[in-house]
Amino acid sequence: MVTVMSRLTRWVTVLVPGAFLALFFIYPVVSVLGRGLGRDGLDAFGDLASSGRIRDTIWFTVWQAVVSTAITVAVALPAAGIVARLSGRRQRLVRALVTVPFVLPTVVVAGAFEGLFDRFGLDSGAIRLRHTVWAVLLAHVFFNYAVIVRAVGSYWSGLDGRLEDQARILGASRWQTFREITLPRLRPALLASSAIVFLFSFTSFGVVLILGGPRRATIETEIYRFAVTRSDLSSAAAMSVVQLVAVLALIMVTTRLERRRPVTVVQPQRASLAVTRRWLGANVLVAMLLLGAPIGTLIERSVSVGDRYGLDNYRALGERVQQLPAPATTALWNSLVFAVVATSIAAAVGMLASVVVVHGTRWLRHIFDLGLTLPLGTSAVTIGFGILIALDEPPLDLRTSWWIVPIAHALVGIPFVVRSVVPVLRAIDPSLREAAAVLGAAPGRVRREIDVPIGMRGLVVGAGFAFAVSLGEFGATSFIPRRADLLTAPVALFRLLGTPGEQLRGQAMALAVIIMVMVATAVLLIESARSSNEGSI
Amino acid sequence: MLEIQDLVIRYGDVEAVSGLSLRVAADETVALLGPSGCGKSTLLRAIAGLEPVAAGAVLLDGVNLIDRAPHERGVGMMFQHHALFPHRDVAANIEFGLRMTGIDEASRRRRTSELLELVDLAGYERRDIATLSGGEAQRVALARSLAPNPRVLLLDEPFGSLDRSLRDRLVEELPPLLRIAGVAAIHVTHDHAEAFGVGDRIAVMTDGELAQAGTPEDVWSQPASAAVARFFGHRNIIDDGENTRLIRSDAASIDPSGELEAVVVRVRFCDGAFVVRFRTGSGTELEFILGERVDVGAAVRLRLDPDRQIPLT
Repeated sequence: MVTVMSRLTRWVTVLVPGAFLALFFIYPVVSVLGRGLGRDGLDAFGDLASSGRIRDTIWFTVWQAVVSTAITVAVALPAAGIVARLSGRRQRLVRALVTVPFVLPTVVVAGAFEGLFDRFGLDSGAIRLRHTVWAVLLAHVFFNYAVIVRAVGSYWSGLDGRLEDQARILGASRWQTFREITLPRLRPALLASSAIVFLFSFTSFGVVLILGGPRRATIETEIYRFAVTRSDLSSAAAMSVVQLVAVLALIMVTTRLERRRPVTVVQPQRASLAVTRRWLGANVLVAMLLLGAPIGTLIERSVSVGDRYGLDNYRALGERVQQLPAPATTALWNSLVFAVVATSIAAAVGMLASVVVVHGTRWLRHIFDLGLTLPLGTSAVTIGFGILIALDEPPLDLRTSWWIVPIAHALVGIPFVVRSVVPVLRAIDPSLREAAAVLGAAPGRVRREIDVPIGMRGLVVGAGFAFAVSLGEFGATSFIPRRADLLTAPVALFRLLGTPGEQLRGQAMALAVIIMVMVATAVLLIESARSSNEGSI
Repeated sequence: MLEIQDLVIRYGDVEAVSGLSLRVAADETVALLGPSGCGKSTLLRAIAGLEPVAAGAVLLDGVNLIDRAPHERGVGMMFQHHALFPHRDVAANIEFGLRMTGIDEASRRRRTSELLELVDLAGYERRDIATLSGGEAQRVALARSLAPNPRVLLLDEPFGSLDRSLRDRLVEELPPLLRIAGVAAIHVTHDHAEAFGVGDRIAVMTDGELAQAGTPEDVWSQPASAAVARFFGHRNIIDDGENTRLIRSDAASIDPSGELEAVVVRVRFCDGAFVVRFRTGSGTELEFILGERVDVGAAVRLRLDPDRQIPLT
C-alpha cells in the first residue's frame, strides 16, 4: 500500500506539471511554429519580406534594443559604482529603491511617461517626446536601470578595492584607474547584465505599443497588430517564428555569458577612495529625474482635476465608459481574482515541477529544466498568440472560457516560482534528510517534514512574484477577447490611454496608480518574507 | 549489544569496507579511529542504513537490521555538521524523533526539557537554531539523537567542525552523558586524543579493515602494525630489513651504563616533559620523552626498556 501510494505521488508530481506545460505552452508554441512555417505562413513571410516590412521591423527592434542598452549602461554604471561602495544596510536600501521601477507593470510605466509628457507639454511643440523613439528609449532606461545597478553593483562590491588604491598611488588619475583597472574586471558582470537588458528591450511590448505610437513597430508589436488589429494570423505567425528564433539565440548567448561569471572574492576589500560630493550629487539627481519624475507626475496627474486637486478621477473609475466593456473597478476586481487563481496554479505546478527538477531521474530533470526555461524566454506576446490560435477549437476551446486568463498568467508566473524554489530545494543539506530518516521518518514523511517546509520559503517568494506579474500582465492578456468578465486592469488602462480626452486621461492615471500600489504592496510583502537563503530571480 | 559481522561495502569496484566485524556492548563507547578515507564514516552510515551493504550483518540484540530502512532501525545518529533542522526551533528538533513514533505531546515536552537539562541547556526550547553557538548546536544535536532512547548511538566526527578548546571540553562532557543515557555508542574520529578521551575501547580502522581493537592503553602501548603505530603518532619505528619494531617514546632513560650511544639534536618542552630527539651512531634519529632537561649537542648513553619495544608486523 505504501509503495503504491508513493508511486502514485511520484506520477502526479511528474504528470501534473508535465501535462500543464505540454498543453498550455508546448502545444501553442508548436501551433505557432506550424502556422508560421506552413504554406500560409511562408507566403505571408514572402509578402512581408518583399515589401521590406520584415527588414524594417527587425532593424528597428535591434536598433532600439542596442541604443536602450547603451544608454542604460552609460547612466547606470556610475550609480553601480556608488552602490558598490555603500555599507551593507544602505546598499540594500538603495538596491530596493531602484528596483521599484523594474517591477512595475509596463502599462503603468507607459502611462506614467504619458502623464509626464502631458504635464510638461512634451506631447507636441518644440520638444516633442510623445510617440517618438525617445519615449521608448527613456522608458527602457527607466525599467532596466535596476538590472545594471544591482548586478554590476554587487559584483563591484565583491572586487578587491585595494587594486584601485594601488593604481592611484602609482599616479593614475580617477578616469585612468577606472578604465585600466576597474572596467576590465567588471567585464563579466557588465556583459551578462547588458545581455539581459538587451533581451528585455528586444522583447519589450507594452512600452513600444503605447509610447512608440502607431508608426513604431518592433517584432512584438507587429505580432499583436497583425493578430489582433488586422486578424491576419498568418503574418502574425510568420513574425512569431522570427521572434522565437531571435529570442532563443539571445537566451543562449545570455546563459553563456552568465555562466562565464567567476565567483567573487571571499572577503571583499572596499575601495577606500571616496566618491566626490559632486559625482554623488549628479548621480542622485539623474536617478531622481529618471526614476522619480515619471512616478511622481503619475501620482500628481491622477489627483489633478482641471486646475485643482481632488479624487474625482478615482471616483470616476466606477462608471461605465464607452471604451471599456465594464467599469475600471470591475477590471481591478477581475485582475485581483485572476491573480489569486493564476498564483495558485503557478504555485502548485511550479512546486511540483521544482521537485522533479531537483529529485527526478536524469532525463526527467533535463526535460523539465528545458521546458521551464523556455516560457521565461518566450515573450508573453508569443504565449498569448499561441493560446489564441491553438486552444480555439474543440475538444479544448478555451478562447471564450474564463480560465484562459489565469492559465496564461500562470504560464508567465511558473518560471518565477521554479526559479525561487529550485535553489532552495537544492541547498537543503542531504544530511538533514538522513537525520530525519534515522530519527524514524519514512521517505514520504521526510519529504513532508524537510523538503516541503524548507521549500515553502522559496515558494512564498516565487508565488509573490507570480502574483505581481499577473496583476500587471499585459503581453499575453492583450490577445484575450474583449469581454466584461475577462477585462483586466492593465488592459483597461491600455484602452483608456489610447483614447484622447482629458477626462479619460485622468481616469487612466488614477487606474495606473492603483495598479502600481497593488503591485508594490505584493513586492514589499515578498521582500519582507524573504529569508537569507532565498532563490535568485 | 551491537554486533557487526563480516560487513562489506562496495562502491563500484572499490571496497570501502571489507569484511569488518566489531562488537559494542550495551553500555560501552567504542571510538572508531582512523585516517580520513579509511571507511569509518561509511561503516557508520551503513549501520544506520544510509549506505547499501554488499554482504554481512548488523545485529542489534540479536536481530539483524540489514534489510530495514533507516527509519525502522531505531538507532540514533549524530552528524558531522549537526544537521539540525533550520526551520524548527530547539524543542521541535529534539521532539522530532518522538513525534515520528507517535508519542503524545505532553510526554514529548517532558522528555525534551529533561534532555535539555541533561545537556545543560535548560530553557532553550524556543530558541532558533540559527542563534546557537557551535557548542550549543552540538549539544542540541546530542539531545535530539538521544530523545527517542535509541539502543545504539552513532557519532560521525561530531566535534569535527569545532575549535580545539571547545572540542576538549566536549570530549570531557560526552562520556558521562552517554553513561547516563545507557547507550551503546560508536564514536568516529580521526583524532586519537579525542578517541582516548571518549572511548572505553578503541577500534582502529585502516583501508576498510579493522586493524586493531582494545583498551586505549593496549592499542597505544602494543600497536598491532606499523600503520597503527604511525597513526598514534609513534615516531621510532625501526625497520632493519628483516623485522620492524617500535621503540616507544617512553622506553628510554639516560644512564651512563646504557647500551645506546646518542647525541642530542633537538629539545622541545611539552606538557611538563622534554621531547628530545637523538641521533645514534648509525645515523638513526629517535625521539623520547624525558623528565629532565638535556642540552643540544650533548653526547649521552641511553638505556632502552625491552618491554617498551614492540615487534610490529
